[in-house]
Amino acid sequence: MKSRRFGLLDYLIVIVAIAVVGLGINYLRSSDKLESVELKTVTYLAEIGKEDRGFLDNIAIGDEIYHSPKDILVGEIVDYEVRPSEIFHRDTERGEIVILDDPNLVDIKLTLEVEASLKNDVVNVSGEDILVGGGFNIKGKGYESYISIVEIESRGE
Amino acid sequence: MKRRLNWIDYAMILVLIGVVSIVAVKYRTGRDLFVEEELQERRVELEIRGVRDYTVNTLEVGDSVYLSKGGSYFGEIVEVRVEPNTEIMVTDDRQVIEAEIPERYLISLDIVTSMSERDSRYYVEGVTELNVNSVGMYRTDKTQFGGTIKSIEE
Repeated sequence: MKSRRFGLLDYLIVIVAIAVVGLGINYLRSSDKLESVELKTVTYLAEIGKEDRGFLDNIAIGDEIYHSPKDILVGEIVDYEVRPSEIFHRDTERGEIVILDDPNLVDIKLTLEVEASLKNDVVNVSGEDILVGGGFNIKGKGYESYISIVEIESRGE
Repeated sequence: MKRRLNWIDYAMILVLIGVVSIVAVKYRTGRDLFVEEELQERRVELEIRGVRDYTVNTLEVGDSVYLSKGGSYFGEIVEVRVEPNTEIMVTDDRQVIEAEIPERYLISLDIVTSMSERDSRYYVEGVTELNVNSVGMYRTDKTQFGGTIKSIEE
């Protein structure tokens, strides 16, 4: 059988393939994708706001909390604190705004512990950045809710 | 002998046509494709309203600020001013006063950005259009927040 000779297009394909592989390696090296990432135990505080008091029955130390849409573990509850939700009352007689306790709803501040990577100061859990002011839907053992991240307590130093 | 094109050849031709088309479209619509735009440092004031002390504590001079969407670099914080957040209230005796909202703060960040100016518009890093009153989500390495652009240095 007669072997086929390389044509111009075949050479082009080879050149493009080499260029793509070269660019890929360069990208991986420049962005440190090939370096192993060291994980540290990070502790952060996250708040679940305005839940019925009955919701507290679901919360337990040791619960694993998952990022709901992505289904990634974002922490284990190591502690929690409950306080009444805030009501901002506009007192037009005195001309001031005061915070009152909501008799029915509570805010739950969770202390979560998780293995996370740290690049610069960014805490990252399985691709999800943990940023103060950020938040996401979560699932725990038989419940779901939304957490707002309020503080990074320890970065595992 | 004339050789027939196989599927790889067709794929290659399609890729080449695609690349040429993309370059052509970019060249026609983004006229700065081959022109380096001159970037100027400008000071921008970004206002963040109604946040708690958690956010206040995470913002420092020297922090880099990025756009939350896409993660593009926005600028560097050069000044942080914090004051109580307020709202207008009409009292029972019909006085219009500015009442402090307890435990909520108004943060003003001065950020130095690199901007280009074309067609009477400002573009951060030559890409993202920025106007006074632009509302957006921003982030640093520690925090994310929503804010409104209050001023852009001329």
